Amino acid sequence: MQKISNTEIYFIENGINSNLRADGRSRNDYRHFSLETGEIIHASGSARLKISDTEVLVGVKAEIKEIKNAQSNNDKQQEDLKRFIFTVDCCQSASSEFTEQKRLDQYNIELAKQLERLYSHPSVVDVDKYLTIVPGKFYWNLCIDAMVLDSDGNLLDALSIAIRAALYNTVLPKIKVITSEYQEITFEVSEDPEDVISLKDAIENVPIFITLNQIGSQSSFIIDSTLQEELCINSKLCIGINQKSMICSIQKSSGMEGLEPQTIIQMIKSAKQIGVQIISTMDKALKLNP
Amino acid sequence: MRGSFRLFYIQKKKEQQKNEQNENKNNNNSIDIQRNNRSDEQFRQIFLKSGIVSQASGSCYIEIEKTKVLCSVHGPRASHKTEEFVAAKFNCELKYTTFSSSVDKYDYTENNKEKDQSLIIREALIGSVRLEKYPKTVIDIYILVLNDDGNVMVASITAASMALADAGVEMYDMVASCSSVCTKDRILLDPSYQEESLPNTTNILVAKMPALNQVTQLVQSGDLSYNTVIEAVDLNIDGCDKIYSIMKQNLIDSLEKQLKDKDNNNNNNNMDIK
Repeated sequence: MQKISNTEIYFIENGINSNLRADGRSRNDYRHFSLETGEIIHASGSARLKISDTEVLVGVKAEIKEIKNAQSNNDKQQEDLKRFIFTVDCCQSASSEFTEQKRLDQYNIELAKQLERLYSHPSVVDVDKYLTIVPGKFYWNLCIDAMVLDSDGNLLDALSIAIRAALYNTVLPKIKVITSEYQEITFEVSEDPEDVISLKDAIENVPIFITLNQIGSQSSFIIDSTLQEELCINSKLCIGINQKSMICSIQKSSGMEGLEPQTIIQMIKSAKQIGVQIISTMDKALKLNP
Repeated sequence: MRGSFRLFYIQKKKEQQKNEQNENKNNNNSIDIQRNNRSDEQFRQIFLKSGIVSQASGSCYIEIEKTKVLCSVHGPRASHKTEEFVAAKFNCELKYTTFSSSVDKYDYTENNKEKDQSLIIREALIGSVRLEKYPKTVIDIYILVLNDDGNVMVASITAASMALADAGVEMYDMVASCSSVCTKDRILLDPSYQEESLPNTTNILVAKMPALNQVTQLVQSGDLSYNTVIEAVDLNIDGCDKIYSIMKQNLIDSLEKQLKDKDNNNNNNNMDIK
């Protein structure tokens, strides 16, 4: 476990109260980040994100999933929600907080579940349009594996941005469905590397997380926290925002203190503004360098 | 005797048929659901009883109609590890029984859903407990879901908070919680299992310490506009206050009962001596 001294906490808290942080940013400033896509050649899509020392790598692998005897409509809907399978793996070397195996496992599950909750709504990706092979029977399943290579705070936001970029980068092979006499279905995969379905247009509604950390007084909160700042947070609210500024997920996590309802409303408001900004800059950058 | 039994059987059968009809109705137009005998903002009947497990420091049993949850608190007891020195360690474990649900399958090992829910419950409660009062100890909370008919998280958080109070652990306040399901144009408080698993809906859970006016947990999954979120959170906060008053009343009742029992015992003992 990493520890922080009382004087350091005092320094950070006072800085944040007067809207100036240790690295010169104000409360609502994001650090610069660099995004690279298509780094893993064997994956259907991949992205790598660096925010200061935080480094995450995301690979998307597509596989065909057969749904057996989906009888009622309700069952099908339930299955539809599970088009994305998330696993998060934090390297033990990434942070001194991850050295304990049991804590690390818990943390991995926590992150994966939070991401799953963000993607749980069917409006995130149009399943019928992009991920259906044979309606009601065969679908594309996207296994999204994220690795945290290095940590300098703000992991969840970094993961969600990297996943969005990886999905932008994802291409699925075109598939020809052949039905034989006995209603058996076989697939013919197109071998032409140009003849593919890209998920570029599908990510329009894909949300990202904005984590707001409340440090010091009740009404002062920051985004994009560093590792040092994360050690002295009172409470933390992760809010999922998409391009239409809809709120896709909220979770309060890892904080010892509660939040006043007024503060929560303020937090959601500012998350909404910041989220839309980041998504639009991100989309611009992705479109410039395909 | 026999006749009355037969009458009872016939009545039951009629009820069953009625329920089946209702279910069929709900399946046909899944968004436009009818609630049985209650409005959108009405809770189901809640039954609470604390002090139910004799071996635990504190325990509580809760029924929200068919949702049945049992929670026991062990500790504060001595910790074997020396790592946590300043404050008590706080563990929380939620387990669904194998027979708790007819849809989801559970076995004896803890799956990811249970781990995730345990973490959410832990997060909701940890702010209320004065951990610094119990250095070098652990507090374990075990929650067992006997039957799942929706709103399990609310039942668990309520039961756990009551069990902590029953165990005599020092707290700032009890945590009350409330959840709702938002469909296109309606917000349904205290959802049943059927309502929770509707497609295209959003679940919101709020846990709150009413005396301090602090929200300790807020979980939302799904797609909602800003205004709806605010409205739903406000509704849930009001719901928390309602549940809190039930919890408080129940705690006072159980204490009074304990005192009465003690008095009775003392009187009996005195009689014996005479």
